[in-house]
Amino acid sequence: MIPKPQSFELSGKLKTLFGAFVAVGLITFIVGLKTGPDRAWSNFLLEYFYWLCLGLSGVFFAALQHITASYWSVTVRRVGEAFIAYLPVAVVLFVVLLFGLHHLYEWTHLNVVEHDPILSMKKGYLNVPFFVIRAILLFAVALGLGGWMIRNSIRQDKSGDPRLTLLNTKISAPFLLLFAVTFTLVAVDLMMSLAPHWFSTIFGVYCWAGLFYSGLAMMAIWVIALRKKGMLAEFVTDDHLHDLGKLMFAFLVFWGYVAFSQYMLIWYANLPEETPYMITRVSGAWKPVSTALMVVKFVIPFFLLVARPAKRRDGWLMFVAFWFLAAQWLDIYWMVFPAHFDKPVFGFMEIGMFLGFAGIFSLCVGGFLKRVSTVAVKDPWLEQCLHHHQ
Amino acid sequence: MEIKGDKIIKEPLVAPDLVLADVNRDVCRPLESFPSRKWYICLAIALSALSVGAMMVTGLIGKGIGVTGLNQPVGWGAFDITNFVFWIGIGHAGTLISAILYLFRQKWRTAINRSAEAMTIFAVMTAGIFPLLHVGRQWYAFWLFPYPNQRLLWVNFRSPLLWDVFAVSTYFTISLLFWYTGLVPDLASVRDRCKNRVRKFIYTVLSMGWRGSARHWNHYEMAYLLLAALSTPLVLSVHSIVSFDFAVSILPGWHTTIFPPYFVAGAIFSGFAMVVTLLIIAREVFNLKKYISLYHLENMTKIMLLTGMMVGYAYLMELFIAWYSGSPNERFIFLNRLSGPFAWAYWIMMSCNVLVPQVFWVKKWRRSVPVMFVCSLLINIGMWFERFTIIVTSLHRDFLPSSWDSYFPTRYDWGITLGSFGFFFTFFLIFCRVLPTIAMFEVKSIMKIGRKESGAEMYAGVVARTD
Repeated sequence: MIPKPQSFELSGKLKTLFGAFVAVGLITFIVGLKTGPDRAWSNFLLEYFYWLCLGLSGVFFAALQHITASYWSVTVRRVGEAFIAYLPVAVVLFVVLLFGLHHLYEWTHLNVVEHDPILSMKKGYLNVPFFVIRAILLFAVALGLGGWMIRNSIRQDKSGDPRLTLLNTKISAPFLLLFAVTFTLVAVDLMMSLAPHWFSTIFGVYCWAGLFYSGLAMMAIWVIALRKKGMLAEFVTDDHLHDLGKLMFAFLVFWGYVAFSQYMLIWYANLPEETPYMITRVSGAWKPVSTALMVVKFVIPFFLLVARPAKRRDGWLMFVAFWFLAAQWLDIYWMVFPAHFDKPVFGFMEIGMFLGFAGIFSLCVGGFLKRVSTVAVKDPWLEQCLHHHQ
Repeated sequence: MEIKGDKIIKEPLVAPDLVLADVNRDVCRPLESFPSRKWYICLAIALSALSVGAMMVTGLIGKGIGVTGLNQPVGWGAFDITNFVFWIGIGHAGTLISAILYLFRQKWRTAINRSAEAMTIFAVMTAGIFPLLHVGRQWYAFWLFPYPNQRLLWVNFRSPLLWDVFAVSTYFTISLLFWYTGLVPDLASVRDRCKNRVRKFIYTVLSMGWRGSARHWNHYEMAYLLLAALSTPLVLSVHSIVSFDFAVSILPGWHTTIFPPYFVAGAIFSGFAMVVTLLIIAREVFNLKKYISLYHLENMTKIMLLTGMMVGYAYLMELFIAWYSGSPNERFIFLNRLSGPFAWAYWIMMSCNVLVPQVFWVKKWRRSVPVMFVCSLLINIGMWFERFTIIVTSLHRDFLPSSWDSYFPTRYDWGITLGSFGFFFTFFLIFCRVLPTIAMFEVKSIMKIGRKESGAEMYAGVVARTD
């Protein structure tokens, strides 16, 4: 017997709160542009990449579940799918970002590039038109193929046609392939080219590890919040949370592995082409941030999440998930800010911009979940999912 | 997966007409009957290869490693280290199947995990030969271990070559324990079936008093889960550390940050190719098609497609970043790979590892045993050439053009390589004769016999029975 999911709507209070967040974000951004445009744009890029990753993570999660024909995740998949609602906004915000390119990226300064032999060798890749094309490709993959997949999933809520599940399995394979390529390029563009002389082949994997790390945490937060409101209570048991928690733990370790590989190899070889990026970050005023990144993103959450009960108790898992989101913010801050600032800066600007994007994201996801069922009610594997035990 | 009404039906994991007793009978048959002529022929080939290798190893120890194709600047044994990395890579599929797929609840692993793990252990043993030979004075190989000594000499803890000693020996130990733990209940089954007293005695000792009580099972399950959890990071760490051997250097083509995950993906890729090669032969020779079905093989081809594209991603990323770096050395080394004197090796690697697995996009080919067999062999060749390309192309034209040279393997290189295959297959053939090649009790655990049907059932086997 399959229970009927309740419909979801953000409460009036929350809507006002998120609306206020957006307003705060907008005001801080405008004030920032007047007082210190470099800092305002750095924050914009930080938040842009952070929330872009979260928007993509849900589609990625859905594709991963389809390609592996998983059944444990049927009841939590819709929450992930809802994250795609942010992506159209991300397209618009990308246009805004284009106005800040000159503040952010040294390679857009043509006079600098001309006098720099290395940068002029990279002109074929690092130029604004190609930069835009690569972003369009990512959005085309995520909204085109990914959107198709999610539309199928929603259509199935009415028709219950199992062929849609098989179709999604088929779509997910090329989606994941194209997503890997386009996301890598966009990660190189948005994050790596901030230090245009620097390069690292693992960088795409590093950013993707962060994407899934934060994406799973965001899913856990929404799932637990909906469950506490009683909306997913019949669908999501502690066993489902346990699996989400295990995935969070796995990708926490995976991020640690990738981050260690990147750092250790650059440190060990100590080549002048590569080390400046790390030297900036691990010495001087940025040293505490690098240390904090290691401790906050890996060491502490490792112990917070390693035990079995930690993954099954919803309050605790929610707390760890918020921790994950904070750690991911720190990671992107660590990538963006040392490119432009000699020492860490943190204040109203950073908080305000974060809240602004958080407001937009939450309103998008909330709006999406209001329009559709919060659970894929006619998924052919839903019944097995409901009987899922560890 | 098929659609039946509004349900999706997954394929059965074992043939639906089997009963529990069939499992013991079919799996134990090779252990309880005289070997077939086919088996003797295979063993003869493996032993011949092994003896060629043994001869060459004797010569090499007698005369020194200069008899191989080593030279300046290719001073780090192209064949030796290629074979080492190749075999270590092969040794990754077993523990991936038994540990990681176990944690991911992939029940199809039950039919293949035993032989894959055995393969892991033999591959790691084979791999271990090469660094031992390559140290030069093999009788001092124990100096690799740090221990207090009169010479007051210590190993270099900062060298990834030393980390390899620890990583590989730990991996071997844990894989062996994991494999043996999984074997104990099956060894007891074999013991209980024994009619010959000597045989019975041997399996009695090996099964360590297993009686199958609830308490035994309880401890067993916990031990297995813990070993799986411990082995999982090991699967990743071993090949990561092997990749550090290269990546901590400053040589273009070796020093690149993607190496650790790229080597791990490559290891799993080649390991699965080897498992597919061996299982296709084993299911034919020992008549195990009902247990190792096309469904299992198809799943393995999917993993090969995935990991093949992961290494493809790494190849392209290396090329892209070599260009993007703007460093003339980086750019040169990759141009040299693409079009230099060893370009043939590079293109063998590219076509075998990236193009060949693409056939697995087509379901028909994923389920065709001949296609799979040929592809798995090609992938093995491609993965061997991947390591060869990495080692030789980066070394033979280094920073100083006046010292550039080429590399020519000698009969010692070829002979020892051949010998390593002989070594590996000899062990594998003996394994097939003395231990159950399929985890019998695990296969029984996924059979649906005598269980209450639930509405949530998803395997076609059960549907067929209720029909």
